[in-house]
Amino acid sequence: MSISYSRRVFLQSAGGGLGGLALTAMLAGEGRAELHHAPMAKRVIQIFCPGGMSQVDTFDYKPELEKRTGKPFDPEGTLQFFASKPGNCQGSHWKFRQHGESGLWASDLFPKLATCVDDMAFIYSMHSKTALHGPACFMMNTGFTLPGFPSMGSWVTYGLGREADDLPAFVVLPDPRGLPPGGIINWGAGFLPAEHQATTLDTSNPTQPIADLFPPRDFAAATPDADRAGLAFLDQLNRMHLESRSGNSELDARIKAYEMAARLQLSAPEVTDLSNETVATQQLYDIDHPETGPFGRQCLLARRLVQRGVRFVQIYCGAENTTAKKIRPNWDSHEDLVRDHGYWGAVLDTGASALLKDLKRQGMLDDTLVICTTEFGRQPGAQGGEGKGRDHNAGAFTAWLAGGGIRGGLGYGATDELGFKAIESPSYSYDLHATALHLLGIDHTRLTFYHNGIERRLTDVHGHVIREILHETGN
Amino acid sequence: MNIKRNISNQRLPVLLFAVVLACEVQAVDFKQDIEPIFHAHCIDCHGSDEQESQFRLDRLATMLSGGNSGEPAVVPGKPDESFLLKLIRHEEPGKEMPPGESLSKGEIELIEQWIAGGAKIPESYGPAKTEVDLSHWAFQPVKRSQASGIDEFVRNTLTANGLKQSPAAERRVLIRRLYLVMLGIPPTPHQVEAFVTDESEGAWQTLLERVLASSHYGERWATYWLDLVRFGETHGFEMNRERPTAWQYRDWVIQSFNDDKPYNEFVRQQIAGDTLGAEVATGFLVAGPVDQVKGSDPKLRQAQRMNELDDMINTTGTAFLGLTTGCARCHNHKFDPISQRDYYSMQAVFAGVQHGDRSLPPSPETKQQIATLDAEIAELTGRLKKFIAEDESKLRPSVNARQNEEVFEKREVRFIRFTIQKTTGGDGCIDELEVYAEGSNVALASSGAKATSSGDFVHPKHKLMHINDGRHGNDRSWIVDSAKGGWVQIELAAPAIIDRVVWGRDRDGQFADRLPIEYRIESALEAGKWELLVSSADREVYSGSKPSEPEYQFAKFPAEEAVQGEKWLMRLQAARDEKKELEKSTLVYAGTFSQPGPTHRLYRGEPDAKREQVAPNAIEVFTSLNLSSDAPERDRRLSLANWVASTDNPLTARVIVNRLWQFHFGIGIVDTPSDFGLNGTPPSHPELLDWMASELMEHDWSLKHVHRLILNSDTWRQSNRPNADAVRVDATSRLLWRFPPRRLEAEAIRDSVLAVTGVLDLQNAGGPGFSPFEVEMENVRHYHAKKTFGPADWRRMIYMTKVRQEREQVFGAFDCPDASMVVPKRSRSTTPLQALNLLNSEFVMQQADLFAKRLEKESDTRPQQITRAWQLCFQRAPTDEELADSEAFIQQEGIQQFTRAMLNANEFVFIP
Repeated sequence: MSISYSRRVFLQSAGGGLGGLALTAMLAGEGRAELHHAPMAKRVIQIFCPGGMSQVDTFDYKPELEKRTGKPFDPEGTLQFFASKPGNCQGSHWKFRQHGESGLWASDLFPKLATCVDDMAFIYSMHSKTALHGPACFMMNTGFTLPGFPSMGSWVTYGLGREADDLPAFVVLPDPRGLPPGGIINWGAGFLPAEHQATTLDTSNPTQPIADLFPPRDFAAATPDADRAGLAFLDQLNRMHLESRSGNSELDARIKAYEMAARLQLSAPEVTDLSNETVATQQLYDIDHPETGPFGRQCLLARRLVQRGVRFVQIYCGAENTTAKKIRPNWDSHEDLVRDHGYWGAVLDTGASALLKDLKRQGMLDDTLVICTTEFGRQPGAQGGEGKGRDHNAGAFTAWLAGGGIRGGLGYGATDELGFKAIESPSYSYDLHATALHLLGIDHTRLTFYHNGIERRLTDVHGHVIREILHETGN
Repeated sequence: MNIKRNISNQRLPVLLFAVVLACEVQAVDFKQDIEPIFHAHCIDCHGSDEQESQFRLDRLATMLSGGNSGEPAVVPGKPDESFLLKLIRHEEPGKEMPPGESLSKGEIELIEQWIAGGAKIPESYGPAKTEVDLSHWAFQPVKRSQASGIDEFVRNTLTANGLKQSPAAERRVLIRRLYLVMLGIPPTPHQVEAFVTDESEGAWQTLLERVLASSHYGERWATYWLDLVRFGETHGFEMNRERPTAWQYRDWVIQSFNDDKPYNEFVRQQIAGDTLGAEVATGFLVAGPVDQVKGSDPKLRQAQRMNELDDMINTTGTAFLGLTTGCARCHNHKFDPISQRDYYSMQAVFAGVQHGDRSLPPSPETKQQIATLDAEIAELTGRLKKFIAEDESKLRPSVNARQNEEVFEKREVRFIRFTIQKTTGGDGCIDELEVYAEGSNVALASSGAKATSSGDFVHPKHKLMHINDGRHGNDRSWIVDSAKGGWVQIELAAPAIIDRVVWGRDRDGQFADRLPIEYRIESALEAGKWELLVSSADREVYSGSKPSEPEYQFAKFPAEEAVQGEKWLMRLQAARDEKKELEKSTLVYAGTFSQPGPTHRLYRGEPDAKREQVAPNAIEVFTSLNLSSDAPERDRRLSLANWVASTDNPLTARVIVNRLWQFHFGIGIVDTPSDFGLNGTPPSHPELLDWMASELMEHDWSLKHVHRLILNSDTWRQSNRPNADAVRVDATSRLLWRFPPRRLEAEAIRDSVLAVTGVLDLQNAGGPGFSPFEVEMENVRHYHAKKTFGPADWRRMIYMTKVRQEREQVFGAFDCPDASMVVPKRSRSTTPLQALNLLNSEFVMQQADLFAKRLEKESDTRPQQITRAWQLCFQRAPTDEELADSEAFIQQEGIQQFTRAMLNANEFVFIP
């Protein structure tokens, strides 16, 4: 009996299931993957604002809501929100104005970002399948409300491979206050091989920005010189072992992994050291500001990372969702939206605007896709006894994109007159993901990985590229 | 892919076609009026060439059953129920048919009339229901072919491909391989030498029997099973809180492997262990993640519940059957003969399973201990009576909202009635009424008891079924419908000798309204012959404050007596604590069971798109469980379990022997181990797979028997060295011309490190795990990696508390699943982060240090220490070159750098 290997049988047996574009590259013996079409973006920086950012207080201008402020949102009393019954209509807590040549609206929560609207495309009609933080974060990151699916960053590196040979392809910068709802699997590789897992950089620890980058201090014998000698000795052991086992790619890969680890020891401290940046740049990101500084640093670091060949950087603007006596640790503003969005708005405003301006100045915005999103929006009706908060709203939220093939200064889709539901071109994470992959030169329907009976995709069986927000090109 | 599948799930009323009533609808002729429309607009995509959405209009059977939406396309006589009409009328957004055009009004009317008139159709369109094509290899019965054993099958395939087996591996390699594959820890130098020098004929058999009898076998192989069933010890999702009693399921799996429990029994117990004397085993059903954040929005809650059940259906399908049953949730399975209706039939099987702790009947020993304590408590309470301040001596503490215990003389009863006369406000509410006989709660609906009442307050959270569903709290409580004199009654499955009733208003402690403060509890052996058991009459009046102990006054008594009294009181309190502890230890995260309501098929899987009701069942084309829609909850699971574990099931045995093969060789005979369906890959050695499956079944489903067959084969014992010619033909060794080399999994690497450094704690097996994290007890749990390690952390990794959605900081990077999903085969990747963790982590550095100390303690000279290190790590002596290099290196950089390199070496982490 002889076996005819179907394409997938081969992929599966080729060591941990290679597939997609990375496979094409492997077969062709090239270091670089072959794309489905010409890319407009080479890299992605995604800002994720966990907790649920309000659309009606930020970019989705709703004059009718303002007019109806104080009147019951749900006069019939038929609706039940995530944690409450709807209160009265509540217009934006910040004044909206038009900005730039495009005349797009932004609220006074974002004075600095408002100066960038001509570079930004807004999707006003985002919605989610769930109003629960954990599942909604999973959906926004992986396309599924259940835990354990690969994140967009993992899919991108699975598809495109690594560009830099001394830095990881996918880096995540969690909020210094902690992890987002659902924790580290928001950037997990799921069933994709573990090399597509993100590397988290801990910027609060300059001597050890990557876990176990260097031995702990209390092992005196582990001096840098001794470590180098130790690595050389290990390499020697492994090469002697390999001699009689030539052609075992796993052994070879492990030798290479140690070489890469040694390179990381040099590159990671270099990239996280922001002191080499000019004072002007540091001021642009306001990195010493006690409140907005930490996020500004993450944004600046993201720029440095993509500059050095990292494919995908995800920055979190907000942490996990615990009740707090003072300011909530993320955007989840149930009790006091002015307090919580006020705080986080200033954080996002400074860092994100600096990032856009800096990328533009460095000539990198054209091929760097910047995405900013949250997991769901908030209700136009107020929450709480004093009506100062807003409950979860899976029916509508706003995401924005810039650079990397995005046509700035326009809006796509729309919510109803109160900002309650996406009614024109409602878009799920699938569409956002399909669009991002498209800009990177990947057809989202063809980037697949077989798992438990299904050729899985980032976009499941859904997703449409939102061409309306792209620059005109041939494809 | 072109798959022949014609299945009609529609339960057709008999005679529907035979009798077409002469009605007023004008007769439409199919040939003349309808077929031309189909041919002009539909047949290109829904005909013999293409079947978009698995739907075709050239066969009666598919017209009736519909395509993969699960909706019947044509319901004769009922145009409004016919999906076809909805689509051509453009009433289904996104599914307007034909795409990009519209049928004319007249054409639609014709089709409507045709359906209304009974949808008469020529015989050439075939029968109303056609046989499903089950010719797929995995759906065929297991066929045993004649062969001398595994090697014959493997050699035949090799020969056909111009390949041959490699020579046998040397003994040092074999024993290392055997220990790593079967036990997950390397053999000691002593064990190696004993085997290498054993000149007896049965040296290998002796060794492998010893290994198979080792309790470390279960510890090793349980890891694979726990991956398969997504076992975790936290809930996952946003809050990710602990499941402190879930570890018992892990121990049960380990013990089952070690006992070589017949696999069919192993399967049955996990689905229905509560009826099979293996309560802990149902931990399988609820081993997956569950979201503890529940929104107030009922739709959201319903969607969450559907996800919980989906997790059970999917895990049962993939783990036991190798079928991706979860794929039929929203539409008929794309590849396999699993309809949407089948999916919801399986949902009905699990519909009564809820996540949560279940209190187990205590073990005989625990029962005895509790009884002894009860006697002691009673005696001490009696002795202490004289110390109670006088005016209180007769009254029991007042009721409290959480939990009240009513203890009385043993008596035999069949009925218990709780009558509420007065509450703290509002109609009375009870979250659970428990009746104890020999330490077991016999009032549970799941043990056959029936609840009735004088009338129920109607509310989704408050239901009569909650009174004895084994679940607590306001959301699982019952409220009576009258302010005074209302009652709830439990009829036990059989008369029982009871001595205790326990009840509460809200055991979660959030509510104290509606609390019965005046009540009586009666019992009867025969219906209607009530006798008073206990009542509130001897309780203190409820004041809302916490009930306190009776006040003992020792001062009034002579010193000696007072001291004695104080001692008794101390002992009484201690005895009560001990009892509490014993009762607590019988909780296990194995789910709770209650009688479910009706289950419906859901169009597109959407909770608010209910279709026909379905009875609990398995996959229709394979079997029928013959259960009614209201079959008792436990019968549902037991019936399913019996079918899954039957020898007639073509999948179960094949799936498990394939898994065993995969964990031996790194790759299965079927390389899609949880998908034996049409989308899975075909077996590389189909006859071998069937041969092993029949061996398994013929040997009482003994997994160890299959291990023996594999371990005794030349195939398993051959060398793993490369061979340039063979590599060119079969680079991945799929055809097994050598033993395929592979890296160890995370658990085996960690255990190996600890074993060679000499600190692995093998004694501390079983029981609650050790955590790699410090847990910050926020509402949403935060897990911070531990920074320092000691002996408590040096148990085998299988006992490491499995925190979902987190990765253990050192070994997690070695492709350790996070228990979010079922994992039939781990990926095996190589990354620089793995290198950093193994080189620099506090954990490994400490082990390198311990290893160095061990070497220096056990051997005097450098060459001896180096040789010892080689033997411990690689089961061989170093070559002269290795020895010289190592000596020079230690001279320069110290022994700790040397041991650290050894623990990082390729040879150390690969199976030879």
